[in-house]
Amino acid sequence: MFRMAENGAADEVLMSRFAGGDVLAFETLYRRHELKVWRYFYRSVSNQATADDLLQEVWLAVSQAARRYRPSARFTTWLFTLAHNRLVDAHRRARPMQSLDVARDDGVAWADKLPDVASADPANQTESSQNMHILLSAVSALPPEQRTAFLLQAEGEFSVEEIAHATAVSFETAKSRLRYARARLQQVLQEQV
Amino acid sequence: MNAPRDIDEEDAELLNAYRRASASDASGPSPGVREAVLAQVRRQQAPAAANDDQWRWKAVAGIAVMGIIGLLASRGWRQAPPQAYSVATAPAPMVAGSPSATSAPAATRMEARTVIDANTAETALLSARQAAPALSEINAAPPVFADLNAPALPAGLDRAAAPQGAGALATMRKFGVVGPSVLSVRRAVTERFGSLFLPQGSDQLNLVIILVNESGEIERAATEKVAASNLSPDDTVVAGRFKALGANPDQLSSPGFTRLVEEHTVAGTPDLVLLVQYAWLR
Repeated sequence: MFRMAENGAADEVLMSRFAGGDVLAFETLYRRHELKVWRYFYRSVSNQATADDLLQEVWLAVSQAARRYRPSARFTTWLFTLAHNRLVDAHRRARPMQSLDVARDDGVAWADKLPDVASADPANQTESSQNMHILLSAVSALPPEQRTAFLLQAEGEFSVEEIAHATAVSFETAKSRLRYARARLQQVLQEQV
Repeated sequence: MNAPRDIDEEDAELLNAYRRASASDASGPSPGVREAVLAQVRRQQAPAAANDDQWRWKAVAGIAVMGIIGLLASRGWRQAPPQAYSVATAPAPMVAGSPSATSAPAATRMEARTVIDANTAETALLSARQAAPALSEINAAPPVFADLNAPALPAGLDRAAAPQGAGALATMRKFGVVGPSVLSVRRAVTERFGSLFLPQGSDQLNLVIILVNESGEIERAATEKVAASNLSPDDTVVAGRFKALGANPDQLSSPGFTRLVEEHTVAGTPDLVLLVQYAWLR
């Protein structure tokens, strides 16, 4: 079940060591996954300071929960589930009257609201870096549920089942959200060609 | 990078495109976040003795709470059975076989049983009286909850933190059950020090040093200017700044550092930044 990291011990082993008091194990884990978790937040909230704070919160939560951690699943699944929960809490605090569930799963209404990133600055569209920027902007502009599903897969390497579990929806709903997200991003990519 | 499951070739290409784009994106966590997290985790973990101490405090607090509950329960038990109290204050009991019993008017079988039961209750109550103050003494000077706390609570654990009502959250936070939120710091600072934000790129930035109480309110605060270009990780959480506010390290918990950014609303204007060093008062 657990993958050995490219360099060094598996995440789950490091987590167990940290639970036993090995701070260096935590540092290794942190450095290994810091950027992925931060990107998950940043692409979701599009705000550096908020992403920083959420990153700080989630890693402190990891450190506090270390003794209770049981390696029944991949560490990254647990980590990104914690991250997702922090993100949902932050959304609720920021927009107490708006539920994340309000958005439609079919993506049509949200997709209509997407900025027309593909047509921005046509003179530079051939530049690869511009295309990459457009793709990242398109990810950030996805409807929240679709974006979360896509980012959990892209950054957290979640399976559809894991996405469904982490976001508390059915397998079919998670699959549907992923499908719409990919379709929208594929569309953006094709418009660049 | 491992390919996630449940994806076909086209999706894999999309994921790869995203990852290439992400890798080419230079954005990342602000400098200082990593140091702040690691410093806090080191503080939490570093001296094993401190951890043991924390567990000892939790155990002592738990025993104290159990003691309080026990005292209250025993007090309630003593007040509860009025029958026992009436027996204790009744005239001298008749004891089967004693001279008074034999000289008493003839009693029915039922009356005899009553006398024996009363005697049993009396004996039990007398035994209890030897071990505990008389009920009248307790009623004369009813102990208040705070007094019950006094001998049981360990030094350093103030009564305000006793687990009752709103204080329960504070107690949980004190013993690390509930972690203070950085976001509450952000909200409080933004509300109170909104005028101290300075444009990103300024030579100097404002740093707010705050001490937050158990309710999440800013209790003490100070500000200073720091050179933005020289802000190294070592500068992020400086104990001396808390000391200047009259707080020693042992009075603080969950210190940290955050950087607030108000994003520009007009194109071409820089974001506004405010630095915050914070800690919770124990």
